[in-house]
Amino acid sequence: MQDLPGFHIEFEGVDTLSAPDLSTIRKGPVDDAWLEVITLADDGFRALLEALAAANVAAPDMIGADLTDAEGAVIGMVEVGWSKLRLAINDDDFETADWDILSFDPEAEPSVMAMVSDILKKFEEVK
Amino acid sequence: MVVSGVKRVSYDMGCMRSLKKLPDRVSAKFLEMMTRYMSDPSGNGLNLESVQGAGDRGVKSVRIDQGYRAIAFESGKDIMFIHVNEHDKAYRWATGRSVQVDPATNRIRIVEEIPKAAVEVASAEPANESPHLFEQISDQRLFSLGVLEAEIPALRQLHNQADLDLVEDSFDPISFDILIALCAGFDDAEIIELIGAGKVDEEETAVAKKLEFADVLASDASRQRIFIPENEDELRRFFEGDLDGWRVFLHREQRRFAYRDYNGPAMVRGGAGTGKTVVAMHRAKHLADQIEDDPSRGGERVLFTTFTTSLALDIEANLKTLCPEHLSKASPRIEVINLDRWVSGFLKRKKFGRDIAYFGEERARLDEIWSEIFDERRVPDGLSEAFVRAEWEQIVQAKGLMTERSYFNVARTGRGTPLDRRKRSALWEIFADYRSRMIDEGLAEPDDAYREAVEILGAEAPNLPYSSVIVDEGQDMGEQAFRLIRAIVPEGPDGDKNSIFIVGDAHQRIYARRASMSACGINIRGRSRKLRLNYRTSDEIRTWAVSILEGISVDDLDEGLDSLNGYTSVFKGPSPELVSYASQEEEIAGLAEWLKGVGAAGIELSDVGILASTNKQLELIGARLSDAGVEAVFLKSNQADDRGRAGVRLTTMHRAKGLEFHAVALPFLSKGAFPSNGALRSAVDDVDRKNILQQQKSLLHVAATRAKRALRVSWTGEPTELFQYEDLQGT
Repeated sequence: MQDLPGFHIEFEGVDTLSAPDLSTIRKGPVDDAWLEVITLADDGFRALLEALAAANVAAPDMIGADLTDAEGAVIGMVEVGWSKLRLAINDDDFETADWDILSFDPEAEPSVMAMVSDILKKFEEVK
Repeated sequence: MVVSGVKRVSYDMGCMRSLKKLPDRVSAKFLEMMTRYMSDPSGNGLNLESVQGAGDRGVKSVRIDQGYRAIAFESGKDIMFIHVNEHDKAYRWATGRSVQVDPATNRIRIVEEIPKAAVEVASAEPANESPHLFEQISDQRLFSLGVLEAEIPALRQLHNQADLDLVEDSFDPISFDILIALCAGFDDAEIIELIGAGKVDEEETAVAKKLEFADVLASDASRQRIFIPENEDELRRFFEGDLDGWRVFLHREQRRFAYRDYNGPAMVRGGAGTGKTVVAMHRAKHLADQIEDDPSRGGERVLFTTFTTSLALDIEANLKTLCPEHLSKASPRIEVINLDRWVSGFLKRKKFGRDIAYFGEERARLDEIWSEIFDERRVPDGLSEAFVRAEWEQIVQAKGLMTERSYFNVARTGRGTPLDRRKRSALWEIFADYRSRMIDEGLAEPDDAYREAVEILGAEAPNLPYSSVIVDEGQDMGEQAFRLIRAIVPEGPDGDKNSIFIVGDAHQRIYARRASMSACGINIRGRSRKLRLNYRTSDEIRTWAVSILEGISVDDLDEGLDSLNGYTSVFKGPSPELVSYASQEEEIAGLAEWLKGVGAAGIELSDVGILASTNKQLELIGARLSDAGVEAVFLKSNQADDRGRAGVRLTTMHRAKGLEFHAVALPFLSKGAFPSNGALRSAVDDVDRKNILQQQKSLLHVAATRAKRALRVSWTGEPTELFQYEDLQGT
């Protein structure tokens, strides 16, 4: 995982290199998509989203998006999601049979690594 | 025998029920006699005559005038009035009656050996072959619940609840309530909880056996049905009230909810007619009594609030008859005011620089601002201008969102148009522009006013005089309103005792607002109660009104769901009359004809309500009734209903909230007219349309449950789709 471009982890009390400048890692439309996601996303998700971008994960096409039930009523919001995969990440649980919602707690730092790993696995599964 | 010494006079609920069935002049004469006695017992003695054949030597008659007699029970220094009727009927009623302290229930019981034949004659269907009403319930169980042994043979003759209603006067009131609860499907524990009777345990029985009539009469338990006025004013208010008895005769459950301390905010829910507002008014009295009794609390007040001006006026008028001493202008201990009016006054005193746009010119100016914005800005793809305004009202303002980030993260659960953050970002630009222009124009919306008031109160040291807030019709208030209520009586270092008391029912929500108490900082967990017995509306009308709401899911004013399971009425009556007409002319003519019939049946027209969805419809009806020589009173939103004024009441379904009538007519319930096409056109998506339909169903439910005994529903052409006409024709 440490070979992933732009991958960067900080631990409190340990000197680390400066955070990578994402704009220097990639150019082009994909990067723009990630930049928009990171700009619009909740600050608590920033580290995770930066890690996902650095891991070359495709930018999510859903950001701060409402999900609806069969009757069209909103049942909750996901922070980011990939509609083709019916995969989303959120910090709050709600029930929906149609989506695989991964719960992410921005307060728990180790969860960034675990979540990146989970997302990569999900992407691998659908390849 | 003339009683001229000082006696304690009390009035049983049965006395007031019987009096209510007699001409008003009888009640007036009885009051005059009793007021004279109270003012000077020595100079105005009561002439008590023994009743031959009574089951008890204490049962006496008192002459009201030539044609009417009151029946009383005399014991030691007590006289308790138990019945009033025409001379012969009164004596017949008294024959065989006795009044006893029942050691099994610790209550005063009015007992009659009910002849089986009397019940058979009174039964609605004497030749009925159907099963008997209580055949599955053993004598022992009935007895253990508190039904009197002497009544059991008679109740074994009953086939259905209609039979029971017909012989109500034959049963002791407590027994009757127990039988009604059994009909409603209550289990034993619920009945004992509800009625407060039931067999007491052995230890208590031992104590009860020692109790004398006078002790039981004055007990808390007896207050459910026996009133002991302390002075002439109290007696006069009792007689001059509606005689329904809500001012004095609270059911055990209602009294228990109103007259106690709570460690924090409390809520009472319940369907229409279960007495929520009565409980709230008694709660206000109880809290004001506590203030009055504690000299260190001088200057404190109870704030009694609700959503509409008209309801606040009705409640204030009723409280003035319940506890006028707490509503004196000089130093009131209860202040009744709708929340919008309260916040306007508060902000004015705080020199808030903007006008609150409730209606009229200010509201029109806000519409203009929206138009200007839509002229200048593009609404995000896939969204409409109507959606933008609805999103502003129902999300941004309702939840008090002041920043783009808070709007990004807010849950829009239940809305019908999903958004993503790009759209939210684009929408926020519009909202920020609107807010900025509104402020520049010196205007504010009601939710702004609530929020500003919360901010001001949060920044100041507590300085309001209120120790408690009572909220009626809580389901019609939004989140910002409840945040303000919380700020008016914040949780202090000494706790949250008796701070907030809310009554409401989401089935009766007729405005597009909703709040969860816990989201507003009002923690009612463990202090939420429910009333299930409808004392106002006949079971037939209630059933029809509930059928309108079939399939609708409603909240419990907090985070959970509510239902009308177990909601039932305590009496039977005629089925609602559903009438179809070919033309509107015929419909109005039919309405006028119905009114004549109601009047001919002896119902005062002031106790008849015609409720329509629009003022225009009411004007049309009013004009035709005027032509037909029928007196009508239009009830406006800013006036209380003075029942002293003669004439049928014409009012909107919205204004009718909180009112009740003997008979109600709901005209113009045609397809396309109700709900109006305009109301449905305002829907911004399918879910919104569903919500509007749900609100309209609730409105129809509220309107129907204003009726106590008679409901007439009419339309021209096809009926509205909000009720199932075909299914109900046979009911």
